[in-house]
Amino acid sequence: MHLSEILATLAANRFATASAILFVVGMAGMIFNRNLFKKVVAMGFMDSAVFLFLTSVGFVEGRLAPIVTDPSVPASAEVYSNPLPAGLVLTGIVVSVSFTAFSLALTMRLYKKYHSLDIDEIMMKSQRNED
Amino acid sequence: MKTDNWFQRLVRWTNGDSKPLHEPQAHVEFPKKETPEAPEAPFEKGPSLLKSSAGEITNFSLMVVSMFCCGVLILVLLLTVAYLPRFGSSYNAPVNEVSQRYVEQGVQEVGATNLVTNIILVYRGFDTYGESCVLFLGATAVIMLMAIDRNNTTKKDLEELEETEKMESKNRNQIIRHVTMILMPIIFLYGLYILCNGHLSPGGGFAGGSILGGALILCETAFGVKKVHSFFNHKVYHIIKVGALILYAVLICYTIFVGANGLENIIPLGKPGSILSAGIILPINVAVGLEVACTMYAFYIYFGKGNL
Repeated sequence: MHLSEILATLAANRFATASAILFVVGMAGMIFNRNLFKKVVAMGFMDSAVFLFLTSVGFVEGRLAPIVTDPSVPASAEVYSNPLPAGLVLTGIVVSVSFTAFSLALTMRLYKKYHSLDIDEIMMKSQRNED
Repeated sequence: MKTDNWFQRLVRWTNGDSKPLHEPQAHVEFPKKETPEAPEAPFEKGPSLLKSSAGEITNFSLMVVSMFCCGVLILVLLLTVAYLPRFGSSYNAPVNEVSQRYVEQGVQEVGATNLVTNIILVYRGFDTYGESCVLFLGATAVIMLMAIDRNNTTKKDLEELEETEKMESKNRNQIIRHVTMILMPIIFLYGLYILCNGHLSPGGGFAGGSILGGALILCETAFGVKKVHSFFNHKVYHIIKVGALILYAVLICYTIFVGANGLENIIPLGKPGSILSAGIILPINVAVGLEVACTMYAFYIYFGKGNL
């Protein structure tokens, strides 16, 4: 595969490309930030990347949104785009909301105890507590 | 020493004890901070691993390795994207006989004209039930961690909370209050519309429930927590939350039982496209919507005030 071909496919799959970049941005945020709150935000970036990718996979050029306008005519799979990834993304969004709330609650408890959001500081203080 | 029961261990664990299974040492127990005024001894940067020169080198090399990992990952992901089928083509992997069946048979078999609703609430209804349970568990965990009880608050915290409440009630803006009075019924109506039209148009339980929860949050911002508490207190919250989940469980169990044994479903499907159609979808949407609204409001109020 030539480089020009690869670039052309990347441009055509623009949503998948954007989601790949967004995923790595989120992962870098999780690795390089020492602030717990920023880590949770970066996790949200990664979630969004996955949702963007799944949604883009379900789209088929020239087909309608999967809502039957005339129920008396039998629906044909050639008319409507794929409804399955949309349902999966909905599941994912709800789970990510619960997960974000749970991790933020844990972060707030840590802040109440150690008065800091810095992960290294929290680790050191907890180790000193144990010694 | 008296052995703790499991609940005390759980409480210790949520309070930050890393070894809840062992007996607490004298200095591991976390005393309530009675005098938080005394300035905390400034965090000493003593001879820690991270600050020593050897530690700095480790830190730097770790940084380089992580950057390298991120670079490799983005290259691999982009290369994978380059081998994927083109965006919008009908040769994508998910466009297969499964979704074809959902599109072609969905309206006759389940009855809702919104095919996504068909899939998430009936074909994959068990999966969505698990998702509602995740939401329920998320709210429960947040309540467990954030609720004010005697283990995690001091008198001073309570006084501060009361002070803030007083300040807020004094400074509550007249404009916000009047605008809320006008907007509130409209937002509630819109939320209910989206909730009850989930099988006919985009929307459904999760979207409508979020709007209802937002309306409750707006009400709290404008009129204060006491006004909301007069019609939405602990009891109502628990009844709605558990009731909605049980209603969902009963409906989905009935559908699975009937479908698996080839029995006749007594819930009529109705005429596709009308509001009273699609069998179990409408009650399930309402149940999910109530669940989501309660969860949204609980997240908001427990993060802010620590009490419903």
